[in-house]
This record gives sequence, structure tokens and C-alpha cells, in this order.
Amino acid sequence: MNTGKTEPIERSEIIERLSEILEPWVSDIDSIEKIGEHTNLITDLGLDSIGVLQVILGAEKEFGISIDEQELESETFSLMGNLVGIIESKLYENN
Amino acid sequence: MRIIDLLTRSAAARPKTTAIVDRDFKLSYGRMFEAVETLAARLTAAGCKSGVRVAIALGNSVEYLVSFFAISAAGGTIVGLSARMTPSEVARLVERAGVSIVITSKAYAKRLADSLDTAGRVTMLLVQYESGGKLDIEAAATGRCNIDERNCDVALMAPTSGTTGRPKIVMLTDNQLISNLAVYRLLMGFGSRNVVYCALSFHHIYCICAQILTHISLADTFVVSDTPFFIKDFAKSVERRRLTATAFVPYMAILLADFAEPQQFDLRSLKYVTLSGARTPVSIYRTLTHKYPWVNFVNTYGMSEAGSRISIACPFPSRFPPGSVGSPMPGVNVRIVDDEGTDLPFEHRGQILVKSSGVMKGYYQQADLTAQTIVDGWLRTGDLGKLDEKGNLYILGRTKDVIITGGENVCPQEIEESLIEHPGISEAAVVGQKDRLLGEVPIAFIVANSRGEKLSQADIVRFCKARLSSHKIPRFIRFVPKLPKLGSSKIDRNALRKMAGNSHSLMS
Repeated sequence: MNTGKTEPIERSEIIERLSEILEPWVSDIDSIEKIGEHTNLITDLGLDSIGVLQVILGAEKEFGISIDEQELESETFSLMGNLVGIIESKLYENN
Repeated sequence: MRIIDLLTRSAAARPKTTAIVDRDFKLSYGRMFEAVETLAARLTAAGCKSGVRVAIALGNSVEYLVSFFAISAAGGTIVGLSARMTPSEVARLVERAGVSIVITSKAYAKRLADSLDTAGRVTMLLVQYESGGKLDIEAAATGRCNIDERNCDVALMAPTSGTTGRPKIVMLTDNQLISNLAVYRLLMGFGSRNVVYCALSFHHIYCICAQILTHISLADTFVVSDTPFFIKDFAKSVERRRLTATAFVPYMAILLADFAEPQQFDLRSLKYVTLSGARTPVSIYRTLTHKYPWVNFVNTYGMSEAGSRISIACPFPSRFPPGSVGSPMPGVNVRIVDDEGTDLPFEHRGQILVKSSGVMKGYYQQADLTAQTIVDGWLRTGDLGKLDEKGNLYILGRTKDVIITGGENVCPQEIEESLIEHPGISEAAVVGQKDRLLGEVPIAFIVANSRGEKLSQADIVRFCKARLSSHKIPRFIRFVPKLPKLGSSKIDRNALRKMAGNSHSLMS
């Protein structure tokens, strides 16, 4: 689903939609139920390099945004809350 | 000479040199050697000796490298696995390789418990460095060790692409590995005191040979990372740690070539970046050499079965024609042959055959497959290539169906076998689809039966993820009424590859 850039989306909804994107790429299946702002995508969910690429691709399509991989680093990408922040900034950057 | 001797010599020559940096934790060669001896003693007490197979199921870490050399020190055979694999994949390989001891972490052991029945058969050792710098070793399960008398000379067993039922496991001896690395090291001309960044998983044969064995033997410093690869992390690490060398697979090279603001970081310490795992596009190679003229970008070609490096574009990588993977290393003989095994002239495309002292002992418990793969001492690589008149080798394709995604070889049959375990799927076929970053991605064509009428793509991904590593999960899935066949049963993979162009992304 492609969402218009100006339509406000709750952070909790972004997390919910991201969780669906993340699901296939998470090594610890049980952990997917517990995803929240403080979930670490790398240490808690075991996301690997291929998983990161797929999640970026998935988020771009889901939210109709463009994320530059070069802007990302493990420190900022790893927390779910930070990834939500990146998505919010892309969604509203033209407002 | 054995693998452990590489470490012993470095530890004796440079005991105070830092061997490994893992975030804020540093381990000198002297301390690393002590830890290896401690773990080797525990392995020996658990029954490890020549002919006993010991698996490592850890992420990239200090503990992985200590375990790797400890197994050799205890006389056992290293079965290189990874915590990046799913527990069911690890359990399957533990069974398949006849592993008696598994070295892992507490966290991974918990996940592995549902897939692997250790009762009385497998000893499980949990290893972790404590904050005080002491290696903690805990036995979580104990079992009796099996000795494989016929393969006591095998130092490393490396799983490679294969089907679920019969994963292929390459057996390499100390002599095969060390003779190959000695020539590789000499040709690369690494200076002294390198700081080496490990972006690849430690169980990858390219990482084992081109990084672990090579740089431990040079008493160099490893910077270990178990996080996904981010180009910005890499650039920061080059600047902070003064990195001099690394080994990339093509998608990492593409991210480095695309890196928009390298001037923000001081990358001048970087001297060697080897490129392997799959062919790096010529345009990317040109961009890299133009953008980072002080770095030697070295194309190399290898495979587990060859133990592992075959050719290398070094020294003076810029003198090798773009697109070539260099010339065969001294001691490695290469032929290009047609389907009948007849040698082809220069510039003609055919299958690459290799003969060298590094070629594997064979596939574990697959004598027929070994006999088909090594014929009269020549390894049939399954890769298509050509030689030019100067002796440079070019990789032009594959005779096998293997998909190379992000530098990892994936056997489509393994994914197909997992898919048809689903009660709603009657047939499945997997092919590679071109992807700019990963080279190829797996894409699945599925014929659903009456029980699978309502199957969605998400259902199938959910089913796959419990069985397969993330790089094996099909990126795209298409439901089709039937699969194109050649004759009565063989899947027409070329027809599927053509159809692959119209697939819909899972993420859409």
C-alpha cells in the first residue's frame, strides 16, 4: 500500500506495518510479538545484512518513500524507534 | 603443519600485538593463545581428538575465532556453521556432518533446543567472554564422541550449496588449506601490521581463507563486527581503527562505489579490498578504482572445493583487464573444456576445470558426487569461463542451477524441497532473478493444490522463514497453474527465468 506523504500516521501504526515487513527476515520467530519502540532490530530480532536490505526495500514500498542506505548506520538503524523516526522524516520532509 | 600452528607462531612472535577487537574488547595474540589452549583442554576432556567433528554455531565474535583454533588445537575437525543460520539448518548440518560437539552461545543454544536433540549424542559447550576478560565455558549437554577413522586428516568441513536432504559438505585437510593460503598471501603482498575488517560471516570459506587463516598467520589485527553491513559503519571503522584491509562480496563493493560522501571520512589507511563471492560488475570496479585510487581492489575467484582461491588479480591489479578475475595462482592449473571434456582455445567459453594441491579431499559421505566432481584429479567447478591469451581468467556463468545472492551460494532445490513440505503446495520451482545490489535473488513459482487455494505470499514466507536463512527466502512468489517442463518431468528453468521478469514483489 502506498500512503500519501502528507497523511499523518501514528507511530504505533508505523511500527505495526513495519512488523509485518520485518516478519520474514527475523531469525527469532517468537520475538515478533514483542516489537515496540525500544526493540533492537539487530540484537533482539537478529536482522542480518540481507534482512536490512529487504526491510529498507519493503519500507520504501509500504510508505511510498525513498531511504538512502548510505544515511544508515547500525547505531541509528538498530532501534525500532529510530527507524520509525527515519520513516516519519521521509514522510513529512516536504511538508 | 596444521591450522593451529599458524596461531602458535604468531602468538610466539607477537604476543602483545592485538589479535582481535570486538567493539570495546581487545585480545592480544598471547591472551588469545591462552584462551585457545583453555578451550582446547575442555574439548579434549569432552572427548575431542583426531576424527571428531566440532561445530561452531556463533555469530562473528572473539569467541568464534578462539573456538576455530581451539578445535584444531584439540585435533578435531572444524565444522564451520554460524548463528546467522536458522536453528533447523544448523541442526540438519550437525546431523549430516556427524558432529559430536557444538560450540555455541547461551542465546543460540536456547533457540537450537527445539531443533536438535542432543540427548547423549552431542556435547554442547557454551562460550562467552566475561566482562573481566576471562573466557567462560559451560557444558550444557554431554554426549559421546564419534570418531571418523577415514577422515582423521580433515581440518575443516565447509557446508556448501546443496539440497535439504543431502547438503554438500566439503572436506579440506590442513595441507590443502595451508598450501593455498601460502600462495595467496605471497601474491597479495600484504605488508605487516594490517588491521583487517571482517564484514563476511566467519563460516564463509572466502572469509576463512582470505581473512582468518591469512591474517592470523601474519599476526595482524582483526576488527570483528556482527552487525549487518552498513557502508557508513565501515567508513567510520576505517577512520577510527585505521583499517588497512578487508574482503567484500559484490553488494558491499556496490555500496562503497555508490557512497556519496567518502570525503567526510579519512579512508586513506585502506590499502587492500579483495572482491569475490560473485563477479563484481566492471562498471562498479571502474568507479571504485577512480574514486579510491589509493586502494588496491583485487578481484579473486575461488570456491570451497578448490580450498579455496583459484585466481587473483594481484600484484598490480590495475594491469589486469577489467572483468577478469586475474590469472590462476602459481600451483593452480586451469583448463577450459567443452561438454565432451575437450580443451578449448583462448577466448572460447567452456567449463572451468582446476587442479591444485588445494583441491578438496571430497564431499563428506558422497563418494559418487565426489567422483563426478573430481575427474582424473581435475575439479569440475561448474562455472563457465574463458582464458585470454595472456592467461587471464574470466567468469562468464554457471553450468549448475546455483543462485548467488549477496555472495552466498544457494541451491534452488533446497528452497523447492522446503516449499513442497507445505501441505497446500504440490509443485515448486525456484530460479534466480537479477538484482542490482545482490546480483541475484531467489524467486519461486508455486503450483497450489486444493488445500492451498487460499495461500498468500505472506503465508509462504512465514512457512519458509522457520526453515531457511533469510537470503534463501524467495523475494518474489508467483502462483502458476503448472510449471513449464522439458519432457515429462524436468523443470524448464530457462522459461521460468524469462517469466521472472514480470514478478510482483512480496513487499508491494
